[in-house]
Amino acid sequence: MLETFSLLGHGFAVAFSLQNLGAALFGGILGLIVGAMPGIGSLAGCALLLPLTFHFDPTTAIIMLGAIYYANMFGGAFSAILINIPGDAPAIMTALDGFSMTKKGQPGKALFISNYSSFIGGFIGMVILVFLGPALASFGLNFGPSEMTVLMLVAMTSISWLVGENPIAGIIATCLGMMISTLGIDIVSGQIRYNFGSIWLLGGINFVPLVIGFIGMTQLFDLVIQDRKKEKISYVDVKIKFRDTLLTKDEYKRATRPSITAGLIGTFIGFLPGAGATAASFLCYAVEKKISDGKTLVPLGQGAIEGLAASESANNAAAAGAFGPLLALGIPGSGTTAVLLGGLMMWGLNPGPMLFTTNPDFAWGLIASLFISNILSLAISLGCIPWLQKIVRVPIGVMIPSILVICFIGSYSTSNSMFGVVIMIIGGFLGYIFNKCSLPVSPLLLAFVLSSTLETNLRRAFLTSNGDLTVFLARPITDVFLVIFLIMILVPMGRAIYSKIKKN
Amino acid sequence: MKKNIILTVLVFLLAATAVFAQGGKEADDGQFHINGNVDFYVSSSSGGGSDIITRTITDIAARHEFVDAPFIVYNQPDGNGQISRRTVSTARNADSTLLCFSSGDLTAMIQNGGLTLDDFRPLVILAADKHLLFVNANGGKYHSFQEVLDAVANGAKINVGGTMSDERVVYNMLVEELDASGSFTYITYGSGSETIAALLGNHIDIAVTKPATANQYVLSGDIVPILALSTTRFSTPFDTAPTLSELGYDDVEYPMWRGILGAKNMSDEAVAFWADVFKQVSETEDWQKNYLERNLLVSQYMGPEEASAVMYEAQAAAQAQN
Amino acid sequence: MLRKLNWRCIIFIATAILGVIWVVLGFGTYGFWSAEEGPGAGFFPAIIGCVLVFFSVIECIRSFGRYEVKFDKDALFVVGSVAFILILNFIVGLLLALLAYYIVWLKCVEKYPWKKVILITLFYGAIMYGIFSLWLQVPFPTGLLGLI
Repeated sequence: MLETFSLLGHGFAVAFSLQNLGAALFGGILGLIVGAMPGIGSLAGCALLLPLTFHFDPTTAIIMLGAIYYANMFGGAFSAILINIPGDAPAIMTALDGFSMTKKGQPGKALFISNYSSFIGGFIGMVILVFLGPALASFGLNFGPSEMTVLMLVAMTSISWLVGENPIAGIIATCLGMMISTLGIDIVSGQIRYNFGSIWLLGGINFVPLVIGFIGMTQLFDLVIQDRKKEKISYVDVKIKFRDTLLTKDEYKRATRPSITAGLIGTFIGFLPGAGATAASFLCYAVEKKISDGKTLVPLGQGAIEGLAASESANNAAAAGAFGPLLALGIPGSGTTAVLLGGLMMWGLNPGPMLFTTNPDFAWGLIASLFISNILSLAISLGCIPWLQKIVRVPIGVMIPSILVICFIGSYSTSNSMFGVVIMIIGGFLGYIFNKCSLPVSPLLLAFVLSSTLETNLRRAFLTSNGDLTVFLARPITDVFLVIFLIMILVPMGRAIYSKIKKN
Repeated sequence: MKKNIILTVLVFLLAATAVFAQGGKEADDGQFHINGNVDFYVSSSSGGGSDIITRTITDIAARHEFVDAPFIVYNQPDGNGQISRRTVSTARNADSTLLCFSSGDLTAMIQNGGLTLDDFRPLVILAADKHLLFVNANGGKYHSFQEVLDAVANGAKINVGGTMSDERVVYNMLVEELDASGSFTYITYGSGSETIAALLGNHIDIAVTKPATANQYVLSGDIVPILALSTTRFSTPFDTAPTLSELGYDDVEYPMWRGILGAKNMSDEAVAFWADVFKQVSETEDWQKNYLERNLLVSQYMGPEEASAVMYEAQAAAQAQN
Repeated sequence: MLRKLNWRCIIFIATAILGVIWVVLGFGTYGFWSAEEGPGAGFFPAIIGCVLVFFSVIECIRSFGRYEVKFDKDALFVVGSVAFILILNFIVGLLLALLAYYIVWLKCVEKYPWKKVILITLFYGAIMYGIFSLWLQVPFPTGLLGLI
């Protein structure tokens, strides 16, 4: 324990030089900007900014890299909250409550809570990383195909909260999302499927254009229609005082507890290879729904502080947790950490089982820099709130072309091709028709994100066991998650039946 | 209102043309010249292996001024990479359109169908590598390839993990050589490090991967190489793994290489020019230090003819399995 | 009979057809289950397709004649905007098409004065070009004229 502290202290000593702090600040600001651009997001953001670090000496470069990575995570929530365009997958959950708050005229508050929870989640993740990192990373290795399958099933239960009043319509939307995810090459067998002869569909559908279309562009229809009718739109062109963004004591309380719960669970999920921040934010949202059911001021999904806090804290905690397998085992848990791994290797640093023995300076310097980046990102993004919330003061006439332009540029830059734009447009039109027919869109998107991991692991589980179903029962971790899954499904059903009986 | 729209568009178009129309053609003095930018396509997203090698190459070429035109790198992962391959194959600007291309890309291209090497001009191969089989040292079922062979003889089922591209091809070649397709099951993973993670967690029995991916884990004693998929043994720390011929079979190998292709209509002068540029790149200290050493590779420069031979051989092997 | 058919029904008929396609291809072409390797490439999609067909049919029957879905004519402004950008994109490239769209929207739909239109367009144009094109080096399509 003492040794850990002294090593970490040494790491801080390295990080606290003027040059290193300056690099971290610079990286933080750039990371925040890029992370906030829809379509660029943390993966491409880190990849694009990586070359900037080459100008510095290795330690400074790695500290800057940490700051870029971390600030990216903070920035991802901005566009989701302000204009309902989630920049990446974990931000869908953020948009649900965050944008609802913006609609109620509280964009500043939503941003403040998102930053506050991100900070708490990240901090919890880093503390766990320091003390339990290597141990948890090794434990995460026990998550094989069958464990991941059941974990994904648990994450999928979060879809049921978004279904709305008509469960059948929700199931249909979920199935559609899963079907879209099967387009293109099957990753398990390498077989081409459902591409209908088109080479564009070989690689499947990219998530970011899809979400920009279904959520971002769909809302444009409503904006335009309201604008043409000269209706006043509640959340556009409003004046907000900075004082209104500060939280009351009660609101702090409402944000803190969910942030801590989600921080702990999120970190753990971040440690699992291949689970990532998306699954973390979905799961923690589902858990939060269970915990705070009936105790929130407004239901989750309609602008509840608890929901926003859980989602943001979870994805930042998972981002910190992902450093566990990266540093201790050299296994990147997500696309973004894979880019970081590439960056570390550029500096001759080979993350893996040998890292903490061969390069303690680097390893602890990086961990210390994460702590610093977390604080810096918080400071920078809090400082940005007064400017950011001016975005909602833009008049509707300018807002409409701007949102459409962001949709175009964002969906184009995910894969640098018009294919993304086409997907975005189709998604936008379909989303509008779905809305009109009261078919919910969020289950479709969530199912799309989770189902490819689910399918891949389900089939891997069958392959490794030669088609034997008992693979899901004979393993302790799988059993635990199966029980959780059943509780998640059966408890609400039981409650519904109970209340019906009581009524009769 | 209609009039208004048309008018605005016209004004805008005129203004745009006036502001941005510039540049012209360089004089033709018999030597090879590049017109405009060099379009360098990468068929995977930023941050991946192909992206890193491309950015290293363009960085070195620009810094040493081997080429006096700016490189523009396009990451176009759509259609499983097939879109950028098609774009390069049919590029109008044939003399200055390049594609980063590896044996993994080749396998994907053949699997996807519609394009072959005949649609490109092979330029160079810059680095090459081969595969090994690994087992988990702690709690793995097998400790040497002889044990695996004995288990196969006793009717055991063995799970092998690897990626979908070149590793799958070399696995198929191995199974064919052993004549034991019923005994092995191949589990695909998204990347080399995912495969290693599965091996470390004992979710698979054997991993097929490259030395660079496995190096750390072999040094730390977590995993052990048991078979070299090559005609000769590897250097340390992989030298303990025998080749197939040492165990009484024919050697199989499917070298993994990284190279560059040009557009189908690239002129012979351009091919010679680019081959020379990349030769110069591969001879710089930067390249040796920042790329090869880091990825545990040895310099493997091959010019257009040699590279072409290697690529076509790989294509034949991949086509045979498809 | 036909009058009772509403958009909601059409959507569910469409999803049911999609489901059938997924099931047919999943069972038939891509391989549902093999004795040696367990589930094939068609396993997961075929099951999802079955569920989709089942519920689509139920929901379609349920919503027959019960819903009235009306689309707003003003939604055509969005369709028009998208078409405008796409067409212009082929000629002058994406960035200039988006800028032109700003001008047309602000001038012709919102009826802003010219000075305001130019200022706003220049401002957003500079942000787009500066951040995405210059800094992040996103290679935007240049269109037939090949301008920027």
